[in-house]
Amino acid sequence: MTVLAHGLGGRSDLPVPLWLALYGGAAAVVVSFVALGALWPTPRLAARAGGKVLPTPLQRLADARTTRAALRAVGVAAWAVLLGTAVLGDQSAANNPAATWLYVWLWVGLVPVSLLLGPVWRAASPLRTLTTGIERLVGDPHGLGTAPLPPRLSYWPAAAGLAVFVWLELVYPHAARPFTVALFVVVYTLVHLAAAARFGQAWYRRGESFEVYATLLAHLSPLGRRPDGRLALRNPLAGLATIEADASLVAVICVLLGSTVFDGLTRTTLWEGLIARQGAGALLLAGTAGLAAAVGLVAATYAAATWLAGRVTGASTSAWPLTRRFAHSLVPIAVGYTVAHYFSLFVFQGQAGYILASDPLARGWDLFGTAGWQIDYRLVSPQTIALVQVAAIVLGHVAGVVAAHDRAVTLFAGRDQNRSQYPLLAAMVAYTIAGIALLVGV
Amino acid sequence: MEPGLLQKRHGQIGPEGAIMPDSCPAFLRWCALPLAAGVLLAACAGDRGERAATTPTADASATRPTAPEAATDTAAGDSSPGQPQSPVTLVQVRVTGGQVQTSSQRVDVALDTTVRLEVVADVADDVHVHGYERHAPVRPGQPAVVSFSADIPGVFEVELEQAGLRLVELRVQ
Repeated sequence: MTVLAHGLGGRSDLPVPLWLALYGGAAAVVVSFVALGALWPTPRLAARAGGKVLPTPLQRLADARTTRAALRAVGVAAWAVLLGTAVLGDQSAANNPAATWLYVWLWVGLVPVSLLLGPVWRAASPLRTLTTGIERLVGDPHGLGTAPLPPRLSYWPAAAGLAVFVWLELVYPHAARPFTVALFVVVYTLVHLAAAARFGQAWYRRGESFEVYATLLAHLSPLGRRPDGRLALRNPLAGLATIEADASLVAVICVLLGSTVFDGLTRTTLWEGLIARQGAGALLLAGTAGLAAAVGLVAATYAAATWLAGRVTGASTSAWPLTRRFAHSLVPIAVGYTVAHYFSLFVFQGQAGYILASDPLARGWDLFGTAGWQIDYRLVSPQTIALVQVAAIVLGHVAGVVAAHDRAVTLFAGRDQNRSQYPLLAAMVAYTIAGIALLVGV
Repeated sequence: MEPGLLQKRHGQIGPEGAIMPDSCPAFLRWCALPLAAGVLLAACAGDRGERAATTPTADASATRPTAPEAATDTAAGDSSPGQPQSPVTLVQVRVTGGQVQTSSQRVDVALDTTVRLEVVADVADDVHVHGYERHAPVRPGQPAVVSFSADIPGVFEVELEQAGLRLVELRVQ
């Protein structure tokens, strides 16, 4: 098995140059302290959530039945092609595009698509379309999909699903095997179709991991909807502030953030030394423990920071609601880490998705004329990659600090506005410095 | 995007004139802290940099200029022997009983130089240089020799394909 990150890809990133990391880290620290002293003293983001309404033709285009049907058709077709290729194609990971499609095109591709266009996955989700199809076929004789979703389930199923997926992607040694991809797609589809058969489409909004992930990212999109449903161009941070988190959504965010921390950790020489010359069982165990520890560490740091913020302000009798009130500020930090860790994979390994697509079943076809192509590893220079990585982490940090600041001045008055921010700011600076340190390569 | 919206966004992220007078002194006071933190960070990172810099010397894989005998080196591989000036990084790996023996797990290679990889193994397998997509068969008593020009920057894994055993990592920069 290969120990490469993501179980895929032939090339890993070079360490980020030290000077760049230093500038990035210093910028993050400076911005954080500026945020405390010099930014707005009254909440501003909530008032901007409405944004600027888009022209009517664009609204019509986005909401047209044809557009919606096309999105659903693309979703189902992609699902069928992925499953078909994974099952029927060549069973060597090097010749089958299924793993690249799942781990790079879908999992990584969800990030730019959701950040730019909003919750597109919800509109294209093949699982939702399959459920609609089943409901139509069955004609609902047994009250299919009418059971109320228990509120205490909340986003926990999505958090669990994400944990399983990132484990598969980052820890499981045979993640790239077409058989693994096929098994995952089949089990994932069946689980969600069964849950939706009981709870209806409402299940997907909180239970389906990819939808919860994509929707979370879509809050940071400049495209949003007003309460009346009209599409508007808005400040992405205003969209971010509309996230209403509970403990389970905090868990979702911590899994995402923790998984990228773990991914960074596995690329260090420290980790390589630790797992060097170990057997497969020990590797699996170390990976699982490492991933769990990374997620746990992120969660513990955040919980401790918000608990401390509650204590120093003394404003609330219970500090835990603060954990929920500030959770949205972790989302841009998670996005920054994600971009930093997946950018080069997307650019390089992403090419394998269309190169291998020409001959998905290994029959010697050349459907798109790309079969003879090689991955162009010179497409983006190491300098550009390093710059994107550091910029993503620093920008994510800045957005997180600003979002937290706005929430603090919403919740607190006077001295507490700043005091409440010290612990969380410390946690965010720690995340950022850790993120950049992992890029430098310990 | 319309200019109006852009301005509005700037107004949010950057402090507007009305807020600045009150907050400026506070901001100046805070300036001392990031400086201190920056120095601290620089100290920590500098430490890391030094450690990283010592690895190549600990590395026993020799970078040597191409002497007369090196011409046979390159000729043995699939790389063109047309660049006698290019230095060769020799990477030797021995696999016995599923255990990998190398001088270093990670070998630094200068961009656009030649890598000569020699793998001795007690099993029959394929040596695969990821990224460069070089493959060479290895058998007991018959080492695999792969020579190539390291012209793609990045970190690349060399693997014993069927056993899924990582032999060494090449860091080309």
